[in-house]
Amino acid sequence: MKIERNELIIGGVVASIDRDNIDTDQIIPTEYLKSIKKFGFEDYLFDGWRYLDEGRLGISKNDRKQNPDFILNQTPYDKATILLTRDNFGCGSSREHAVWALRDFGIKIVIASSFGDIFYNNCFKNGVLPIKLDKNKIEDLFQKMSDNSADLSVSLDSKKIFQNENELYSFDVEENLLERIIYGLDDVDMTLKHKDKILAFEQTRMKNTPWIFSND
Amino acid sequence: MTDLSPHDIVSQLDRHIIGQADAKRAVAIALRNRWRRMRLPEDLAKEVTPKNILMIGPTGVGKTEIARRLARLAEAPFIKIEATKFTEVGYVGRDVESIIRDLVGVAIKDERERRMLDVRHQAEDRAEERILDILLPPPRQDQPIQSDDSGARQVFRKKLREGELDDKEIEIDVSLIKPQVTWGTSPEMVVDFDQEIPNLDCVDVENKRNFELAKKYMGIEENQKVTDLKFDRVFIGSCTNSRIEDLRGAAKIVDGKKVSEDIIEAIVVPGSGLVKEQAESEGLHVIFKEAGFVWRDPGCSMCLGMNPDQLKPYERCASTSNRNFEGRQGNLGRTHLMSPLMAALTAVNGRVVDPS
Repeated sequence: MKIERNELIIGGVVASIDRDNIDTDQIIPTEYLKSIKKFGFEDYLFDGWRYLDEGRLGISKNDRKQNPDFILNQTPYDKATILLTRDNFGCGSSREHAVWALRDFGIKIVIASSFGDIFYNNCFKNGVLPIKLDKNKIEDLFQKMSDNSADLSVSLDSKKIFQNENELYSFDVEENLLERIIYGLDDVDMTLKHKDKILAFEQTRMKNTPWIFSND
Repeated sequence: MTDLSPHDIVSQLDRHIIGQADAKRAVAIALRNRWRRMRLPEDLAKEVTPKNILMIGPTGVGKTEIARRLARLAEAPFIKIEATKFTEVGYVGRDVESIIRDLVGVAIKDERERRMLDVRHQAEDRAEERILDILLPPPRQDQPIQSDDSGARQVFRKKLREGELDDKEIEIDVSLIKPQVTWGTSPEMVVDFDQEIPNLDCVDVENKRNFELAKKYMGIEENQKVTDLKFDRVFIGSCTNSRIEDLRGAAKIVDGKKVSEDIIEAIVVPGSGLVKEQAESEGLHVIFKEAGFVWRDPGCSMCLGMNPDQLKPYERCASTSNRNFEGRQGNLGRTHLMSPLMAALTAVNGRVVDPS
């Protein structure tokens, strides 16, 4: 099947990390949680694996000793937009920084056979799409990514994964969660979509129970 | 499998695989012949050379699928591996030994599942009986002892199965469980303190890689126990395991003793401000300090190593926190989770020892 031109496609280089249970401490160590910002974590993603020396908040990757064996330090994977991994990705302590670090690095999609629950939901709040696939499909993808060019594209409209325009798999994700990714909505935006109804409710309430609103 | 004729085998394969009639017939006969050989008396069986099945063909014609279905019919273990090729420089790809090890691993796992399925009902029944034993009110003194299948028991059984007793609490005696200590990089990688850390050969294929990575990270060799390891630091703290009763228990153990010279630093971080206050009013801090512990203000401290309370690379820590992920307590640091009592003992002895 060919990809239709008007479909919403996210594509790019796939970095594979062949491990189960990658926890949030692995994704970003606690050292960097001291930042009070919500962005700028790209250099600390997978810090323990990515660098050979110890880092500190504020030291950029160019001033660090990079581990040449780690996939995100190799071209073309240093520009990866898709991360492929195994079971239970994002388990461990709940910290939104884990998603921020992936997002800031440029990862738009994480494909795994399962996710830590809080991490999974945090993804949608930050424009990162987590895709769950069966274990055998993940195995197959690992094979495909090592055999050929490590490139995939994902159609958000049809919820399908393509390699070189060939359809590989379709995946499942809740509609309203997917909507957040497509339109870049957060919880407040989602609520504001019902602004009319909220206003109408408030007006009725003001009429029916005016004493709630009086200041006396 | 036992009484499937080649014809039956082919028709079973036909249910899943289209085409390849010749191949199906050939493998069916080969499988049948293997089975027939197995039925021969041992001395006669030796005279018959078993034939292996070799399927050759381009990708996508169904070789793997036939093998997979055949394995299922024969209830034999199955693994798919990328071929080992013979070239001028020798064999490349995965070595035969590791392939066979994996195959044995799969066979053991399959057999275990089969056996578990066999006894599953029995286990469920027995668990139900034990629960009923506990839940049933004891017979009144003036009543004759009721037989095992009394009316009351039946009523309770029905209630139990329908979930009406789900709110009832029962007590289980866990005094026989030995102190648990983690050896790996995930809380479930845990053993009795004196038990051997699982050998890679005994691990399910699925878990093997995780175990291998964890062992490497933790610097653990085959056939080692947690008690064989030398510790560098001890952390008694965290919101989960530094309650007042934890500190009382730990203080009892270290009272009058000294932190081992092998331990670089042993710290106690009370679980909260109230715990600290209470502990100090009981004089626990004096006991800890005299033994050589550092007495600290409450906080997260080494549970996650966000402040300078961190392990240096390769340092081994007895920690009462609840996460032992790679790098959790500092880059390349090695965390062993254990109870406050075991951690206190480790501080005094420099290694994990028998508490009894």
